[in-house]
Amino acid sequence: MATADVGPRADTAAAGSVKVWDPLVRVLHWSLAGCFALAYVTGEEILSLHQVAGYGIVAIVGARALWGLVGPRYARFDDFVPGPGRLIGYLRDLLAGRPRRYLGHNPAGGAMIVALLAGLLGTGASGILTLYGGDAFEELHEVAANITLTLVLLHIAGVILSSLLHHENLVRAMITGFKRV
Amino acid sequence: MMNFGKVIAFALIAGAVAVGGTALAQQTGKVNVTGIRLAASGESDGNGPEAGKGERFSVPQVAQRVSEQGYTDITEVELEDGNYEIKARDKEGRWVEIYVDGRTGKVMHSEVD
Ligand code: HEM
Repeated sequence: MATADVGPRADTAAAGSVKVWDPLVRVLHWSLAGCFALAYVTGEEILSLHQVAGYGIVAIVGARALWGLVGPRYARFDDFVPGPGRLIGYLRDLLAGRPRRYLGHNPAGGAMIVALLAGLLGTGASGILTLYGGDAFEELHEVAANITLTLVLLHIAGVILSSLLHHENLVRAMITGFKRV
Repeated sequence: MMNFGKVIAFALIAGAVAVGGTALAQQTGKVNVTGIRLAASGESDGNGPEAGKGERFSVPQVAQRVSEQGYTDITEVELEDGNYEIKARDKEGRWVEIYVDGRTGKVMHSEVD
């Protein structure tokens, strides 16, 4: 009953699984990934589509941050945004090959989420500046976009690494919402 | 740690609102300013689209507009997102990049190359 809202996938909520990512977190995540990919490939060519994708990204970042204040436990920024101490401690454990497993985002993931959202917002802001004309703004926008792309690649690498270390499929969890306890 | 997440969330919300607001202001501001300017100075002189119709200048029209304003040696006219980027020489003979509003034919901005 409690998992009725996830439809057919509720079957996969076998014993030992818990719902971690609420539907909004998942929808926002994959919409964000889609908008980013769209904005990146249309950047040089199809400007109207590029702008729509860009505004979409800014709206999603705003919505996600709002959800980070009022959403359920694992969606809240207070659950996963680490202070410097916690982040360094986690990275040290990671280097030693024995990081603790988290049900929500781990501290490195949490820091990466902040970096990604800030990078996306900065890229969006520099994109608006190009509307005022000038090669300098266009270059700034390109640099910002490429920094954000680098963060995205690191993000995906982090997801793969963490999945391997804890023998779980984090990508599937971000699709279904469920994780092993 | 409790407050750290909230501070970041608030900062991101404020940033998103600021970026979205600026975008909106830029877009609506452009439409209004253009309409008023065209109407006030009666610039629709057959050398461009009718005032208020919101049509875009064609490449020959925009090139003529720019050359009337004293630019010479137009070597490149590029349509970018509804506006034109034109490479030409200014009155002093320097190579410049001119940004022209695609709907009004006005030079919005120019830079020495
Ligand atoms: C193929 C591409 C991608 C995959 C497979 C992927 C996968 C994931 C996974 C598994 C998580 C959860 C991490 C965890 O378990 O702690 C996550 C979180 C996140 N990812 Fe991605 N991601 C992708 C692309 C992107 C892109 C392009 C962006 C941004 C432009 C992005 C931004 C985020 C954000 C902001 C979160 C935090 C989710 C939240 O709590 O709302 N991801 N991603």
